[in-house]
Amino acid sequence: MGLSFERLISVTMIGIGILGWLQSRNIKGFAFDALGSQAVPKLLSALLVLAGIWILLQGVIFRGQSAGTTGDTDEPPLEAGDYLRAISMFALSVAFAFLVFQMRLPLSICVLATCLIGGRLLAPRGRRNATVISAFAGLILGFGAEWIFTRFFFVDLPTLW
Amino acid sequence: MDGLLTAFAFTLQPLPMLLMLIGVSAGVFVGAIPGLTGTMLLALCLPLTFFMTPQMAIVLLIAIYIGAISGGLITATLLKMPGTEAAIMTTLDGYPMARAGRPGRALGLGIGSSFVGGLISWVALVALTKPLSVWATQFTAFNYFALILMALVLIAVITEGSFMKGLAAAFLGALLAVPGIDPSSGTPRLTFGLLELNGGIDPIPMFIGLFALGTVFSDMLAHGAGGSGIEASRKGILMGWRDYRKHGMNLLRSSVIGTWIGLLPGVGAVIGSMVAYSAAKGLSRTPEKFGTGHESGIVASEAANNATIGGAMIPLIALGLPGSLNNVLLLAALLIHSVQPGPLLFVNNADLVYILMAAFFVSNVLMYLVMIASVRWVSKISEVPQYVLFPIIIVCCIVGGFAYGNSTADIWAILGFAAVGFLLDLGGFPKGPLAISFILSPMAEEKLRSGLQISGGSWSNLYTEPLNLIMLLIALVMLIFPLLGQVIAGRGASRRLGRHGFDQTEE
Repeated sequence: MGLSFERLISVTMIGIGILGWLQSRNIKGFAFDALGSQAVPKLLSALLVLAGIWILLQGVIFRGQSAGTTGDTDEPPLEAGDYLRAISMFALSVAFAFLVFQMRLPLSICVLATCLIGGRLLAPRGRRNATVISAFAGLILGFGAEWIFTRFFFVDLPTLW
Repeated sequence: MDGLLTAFAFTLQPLPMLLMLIGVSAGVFVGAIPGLTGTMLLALCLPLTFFMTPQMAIVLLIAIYIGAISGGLITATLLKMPGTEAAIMTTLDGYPMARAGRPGRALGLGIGSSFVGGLISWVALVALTKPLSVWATQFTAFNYFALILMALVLIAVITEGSFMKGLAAAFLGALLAVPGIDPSSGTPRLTFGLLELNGGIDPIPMFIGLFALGTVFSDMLAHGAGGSGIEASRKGILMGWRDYRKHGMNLLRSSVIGTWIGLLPGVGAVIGSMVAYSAAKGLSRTPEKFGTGHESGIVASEAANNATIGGAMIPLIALGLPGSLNNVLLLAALLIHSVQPGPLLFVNNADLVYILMAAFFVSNVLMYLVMIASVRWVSKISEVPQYVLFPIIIVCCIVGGFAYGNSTADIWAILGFAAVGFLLDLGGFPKGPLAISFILSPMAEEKLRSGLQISGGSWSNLYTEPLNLIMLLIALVMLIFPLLGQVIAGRGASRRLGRHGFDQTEE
């Protein structure tokens, strides 16, 4: 799995490099030095493309051998459920940010909900008191953060009161 | 000397002392929890420092840094789980000694050695920083460019994992630093027509996303592994005079090694403790005892990893070059307050430099006291379940990131960079070179272009001046040798695989 992520990132890097190169050609303007404003972005884009190709080719030429040393650990292999859990938590983080900063729902309620849902997603099966512990942590953090950030740091956050 | 005494008088006031106590305690607790790192805590605290004076910000961040590097030794000794990477070598002798019924002694040796290592590197920090910064004021723009280039190559080469991946991450970081108005010509570069990108990418949301939030998602995939827990005990926790005399040479040697390795960009506490441990083993009359609960192993590892902190501070203050991730975050905190580390820091903000030095010393003393006092609770804190911890960190990252600039755009930047950090972790790409080159590459470009302006467009100074030539040759050699090594190793592996007729990596 690490190898496919390696290839995915290499391809993305090549894409970013090409995009950077194309955009660098549009940079105009007078420069006081011999180098100019275009040279560094162009050079970095080209180097990024070359590095991406190198990593990609290394995997292909040396028959699926990873460019890194990540596959040499004794840890058990990751399963689809592990990735799903991390992706679900990322989606939860996006939802939290959207509800608090776009919808302006009270911070304390959103924090409580995030801790509860996050707790349910991450807690091992059969852990009965996980919900209670998560709710307790969410209540303290939610109301604590709301109070500290709005009263002490004067941050413009949506509050319950 | 007066400046340092005034700084001590400042740091010993109640408010800075309270901040340092909070910082050291938070650092020790976070350092003790496997998966959470000082870098994560520093990134989380960056937005909060926006509400502080630069003096208070630096006092808090230094205290966190020292606490976090030291905290890892408790779980490394009692649970065989190094809370931080820096404590990996401590596990080799700390855990066997604790299992043999002497947990208090193992912890005491580790805490005492961390304290001494920190103090010796503090002496180096005080003694070397000013002469180095005075020398650096004579640097030409080309000298600076060659130095930064050498540091960047060293960081990419030495960072854990593949050399090529480190290099690719460094190029990506440098390219991400390009968007914005070109300071030399005033021309927008790589902004894609977006006005929001005219100011460039803000490092604070980027670092919170990459190192705090992104690491949380990666940690969700990690399977916990460690030995059976051992109850903490205070018996033998204080190192006596006899111990200091017995391990004096080892303490001094390991601290000097740690300080020296800390000076080198990108090398850091892990390598520092490994080299010191190897040196102690190599020079020992009983090398076979190392790894079985030998006192010298704990002493060497802990003295060296704490000594790297002081060593790494020297180039940061004197040259403005951050050698490690934690130093990048310290640099970012200073930049928030419009303080630019470098040779002129002693001229423009000498009080801040001395406060940093004084805070370093006092934080070390506080670290010693906090660790001795809280050893039992800290070993319990590592048992906090991830399902409670991770949602809390996610909320802190997002709310803290918003508090920094009161901007929703920062939140989306944090989430975007968290996804980038998560993917980089999955692909085995190191994030350190990315962050460090993001900070250093604009400096390198600025110096190169200034040099070219001064020389009237001539590049000859880069290869005719001996100092430039040496630094550029070092960079070139460091760049070429791992590349050749990788090609040769790859060919060898390919030939072996071809002969056996199957892919060993799949096996």
